[in-house]
Amino acid sequence: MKGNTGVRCFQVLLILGNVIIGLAGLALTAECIYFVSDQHRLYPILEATSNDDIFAAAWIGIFTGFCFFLLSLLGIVGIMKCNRRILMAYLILMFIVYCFEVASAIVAATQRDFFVPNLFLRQMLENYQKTDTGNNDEQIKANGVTTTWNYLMLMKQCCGVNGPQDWQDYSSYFRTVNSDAAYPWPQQCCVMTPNGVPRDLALCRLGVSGYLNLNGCYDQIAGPLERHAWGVAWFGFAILCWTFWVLLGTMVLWVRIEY
Amino acid sequence: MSSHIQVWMLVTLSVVAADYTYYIPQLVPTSLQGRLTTTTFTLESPKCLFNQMSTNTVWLLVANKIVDTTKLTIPAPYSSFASNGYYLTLNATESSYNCDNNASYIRVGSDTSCSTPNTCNGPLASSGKYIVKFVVLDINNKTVDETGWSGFITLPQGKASSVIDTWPGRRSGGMIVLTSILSVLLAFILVGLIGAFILGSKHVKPDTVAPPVATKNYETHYASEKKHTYSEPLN
Repeated sequence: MKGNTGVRCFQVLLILGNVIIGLAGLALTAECIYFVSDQHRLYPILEATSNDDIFAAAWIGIFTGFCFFLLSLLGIVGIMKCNRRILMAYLILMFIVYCFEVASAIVAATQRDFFVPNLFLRQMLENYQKTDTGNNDEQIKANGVTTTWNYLMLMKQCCGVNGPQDWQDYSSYFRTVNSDAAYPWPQQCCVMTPNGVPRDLALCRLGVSGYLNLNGCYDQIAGPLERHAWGVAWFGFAILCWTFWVLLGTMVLWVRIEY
Repeated sequence: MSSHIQVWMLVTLSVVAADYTYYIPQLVPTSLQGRLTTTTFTLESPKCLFNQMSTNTVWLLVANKIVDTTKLTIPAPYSSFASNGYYLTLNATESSYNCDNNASYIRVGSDTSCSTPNTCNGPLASSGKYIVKFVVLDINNKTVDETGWSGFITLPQGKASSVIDTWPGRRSGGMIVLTSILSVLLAFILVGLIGAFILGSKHVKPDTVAPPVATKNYETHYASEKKHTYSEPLN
């Protein structure tokens, strides 16, 4: 059977398939590493909502991407040597990695649906500037939320999740610790001069456009997260679809190999 | 004598002309985010209304019901609001309400420190119902003029954050497609893997199992022996 040109062609196709799996695996790893490095500094917000499974999906993606790369090397060796043992190990390990990658893609796709404005709104109202959590772990989370929100509102020139009215429409921890007259919304919502002080504090409190950032931060939060989740889910999906055919082909080859 | 009449007419006219009751204090337009907050509300500042030559003082009267402005006890500080049902704040001379074209606002309840207790413009304590009017007091704290009452103003109170529903609602189509396709692919691979191992192991059997070879040998031996035994009677 080894001398048969049809089988030779089949082997070449499978090797090509494995090369693509290996490269795609490396790309997936790179993408997931970029995601978990959290360039937009949004992780504390997700952590406080206990909805950070999307980062878990990315961590799994790092692992499976690299496994795909290594296993594709193993597969190429096995196919070239037509070695049943190597190919059996390849198939079993590939199946395990495949399961993990399916989990990663499904988690990323599912979590993407959870990023509704209300999720961030409620968490912002309950945790922003919170100081008496009574629990060290909770306190670290609350501090993370406060820092992240201050950073977002200052750097992205936005206010609240939907706009400054978020701070007025709902009672919040921020409202209980600050007087409403002096802080209808956090001072970070004010339009700042280049020196980092509000252009006009009185007009900012009054909510005059040009002195107060009237747009909400939702797009600045959900935008990057959804893009990343989309990448992890659908790139993973594409790799899985490709790997499916390569694995089927390898199984056929494995069954046909004679000693 | 005619000059006397003229002076008298001027005096009467000035008294009649200074009737501000047609002016009703207004909240600022809704486009301003801070129009109504939990403890403040913001009014438009009256423009070109008060007598620019007068030295009388204009006060803002904040009340929770309509009060008789001729019987105000003065001073009526912010702290007396709970007992009196009204207070006076923001004292300024009539001439300070100038006539320029710049928009200006009065934010009632903006003073959090209350450094001047008698005229303090402190935060409003409850959502309440408030009505306001401007009153003009002369040097003897006697009401000489007033504007009309504003409408009742109710301050919004924040809803509890626990009422916010964070449920994402319907699943997105993409998520359903992805999950179902991946589940099917995984099931196919599992079936394929099991199938391949069953088929593959059948291929292996004849080559790897050694004992049957020995049995074969034995059988041939046995057969030849039998042959031998059968051959005897024939010969």
